[in-house]
Amino acid sequence: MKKPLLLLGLGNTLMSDDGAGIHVINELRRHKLPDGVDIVDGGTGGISLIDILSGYGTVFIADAVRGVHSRITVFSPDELGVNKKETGFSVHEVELGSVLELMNVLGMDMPDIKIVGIPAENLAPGTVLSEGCRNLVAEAVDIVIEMVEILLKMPECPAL
Amino acid sequence: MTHDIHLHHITRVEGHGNIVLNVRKGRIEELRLEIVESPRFFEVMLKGRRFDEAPHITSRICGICAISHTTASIKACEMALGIMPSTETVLLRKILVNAEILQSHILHIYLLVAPNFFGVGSIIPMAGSHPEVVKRALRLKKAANEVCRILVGRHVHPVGISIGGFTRVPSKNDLGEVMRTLEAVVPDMEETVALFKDLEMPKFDRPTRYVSLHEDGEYALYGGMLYSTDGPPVYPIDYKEFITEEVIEYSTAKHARSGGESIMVGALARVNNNYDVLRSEAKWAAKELGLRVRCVNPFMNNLAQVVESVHAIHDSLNLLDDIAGRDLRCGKEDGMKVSAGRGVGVVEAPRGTLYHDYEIDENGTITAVNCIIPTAQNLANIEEDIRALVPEILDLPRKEIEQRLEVLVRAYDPCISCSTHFLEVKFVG
Repeated sequence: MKKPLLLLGLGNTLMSDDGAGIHVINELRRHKLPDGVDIVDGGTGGISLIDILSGYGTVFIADAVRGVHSRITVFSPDELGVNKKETGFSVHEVELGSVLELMNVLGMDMPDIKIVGIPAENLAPGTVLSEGCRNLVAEAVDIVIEMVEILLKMPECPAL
Repeated sequence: MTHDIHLHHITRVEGHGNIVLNVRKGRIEELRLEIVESPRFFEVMLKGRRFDEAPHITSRICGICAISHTTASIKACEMALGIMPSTETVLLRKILVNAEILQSHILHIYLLVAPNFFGVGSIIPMAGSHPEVVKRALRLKKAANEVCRILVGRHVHPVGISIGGFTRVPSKNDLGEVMRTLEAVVPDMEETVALFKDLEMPKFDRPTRYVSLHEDGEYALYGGMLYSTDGPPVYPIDYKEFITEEVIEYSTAKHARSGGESIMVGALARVNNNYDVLRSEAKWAAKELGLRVRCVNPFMNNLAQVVESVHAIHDSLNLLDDIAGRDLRCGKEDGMKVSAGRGVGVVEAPRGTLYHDYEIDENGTITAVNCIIPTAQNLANIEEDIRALVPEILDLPRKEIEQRLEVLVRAYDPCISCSTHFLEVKFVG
């Protein structure tokens, strides 16, 4: 039996803005969310994300993104660049795209996933977010809460 | 025969490294195993911190070996402060160390080693061609992670394991769940033995010094004496007499030696040194896989990892039986008496012997740190293996030479990310 909704933060908080997704879910823990909404710090998760993702019907992922957008963007896994790693693979370096690809190839039951991408400015070692990213984290928290509210209003939403 | 090989970023190893090899007229003129990852300075990071921060910080050295680093760190702090953990605490820690051995070995043999034997480049095409094999690997890995989740909250950077005891004492139900989780994957482990029994490892023999912990009557992973196949056992506190480190110009990871010679640590070294005290199920697996001690073929480290995975499951089930009849006196006590001292914590991480050495002042502040990571101990030995292997394979096509060298390095399951990080082969000339 799958759980209904997971808010998953990804990233490395020791690499400045790379940890933006973790800062988002840490902030979400301070908010009153409906019972049954799980919040998980996925860290740099890797292959273990399969066990987490496969247990939920819907997953909202907060993660840092680079390069494409200057504003927060909500996108689906289809829009995620997947490195299929035809020749290389390192357990330390399994990124979300590879995890989803592996689940897909194995025919695993995929959750409905939406990714809240937070543009990163500074990826140098450090535990402090850049000022720009800090503001975007606050914005991302509001966006995730709004996504949860919208999901709850959808007729096909499973009971929390 | 002349080869100028630069294997840039050896694939399916943890981290980044290169092999530079220059062979002229059948003679090796240049050989370097370059470690090119940035140094990570964890030792510097610990200085000036309170002792009880050390296990949490050092667990971040590796996401795969987080339990090992945390346990070595805790043991170092306990020795420095004169804290003696309860018997039940030690039993539970041994189950955690077993769980980490299982998950790490399974990741390596299935996700990084097996694709080579199935003729594919990585786990993702293998998931398409052999989904049942990949699903089995994921079940085994999940079981190992579940053991850690139940006992200490999570595997990566565990929160429940602490200096002196556990922050949350597992319930009888928790221990029952751990037992059921492990019993459920026994058939998967037997299938794993059957799978690897059919995979032929390259032939190559080169005796070396095998180094591991050793303890009478027990397959030593959590504690014991430092043991080498060439020399008397040494107490962990005296490890500096046993192992020396040197800075290598072309490597951001140090090289380590024992008695001036290169050494091999990890699964094969442990099986070689401690075969007699493996669980009977693991001895059966070794026999099935054709692994006989003393084995001097480094490629067989992959099969030693299968043997240890069998041991890890059955040893944990045995430990759980032992714990079942005890009162679980393993809760962490509040308020530790702080005094100045030095402590050395040594455990067997999946890839080999792991050392944490701290000096703590009267205020509980860490003033000196030394950590020796398994992969760094293997690097000099890998170079020696390459030096001995290359003349045997020089007649092969260049592509096959490159592949064989990669397979050799991969057999050590190097974690360059931790040692500092690892592998590319560069043929020169």
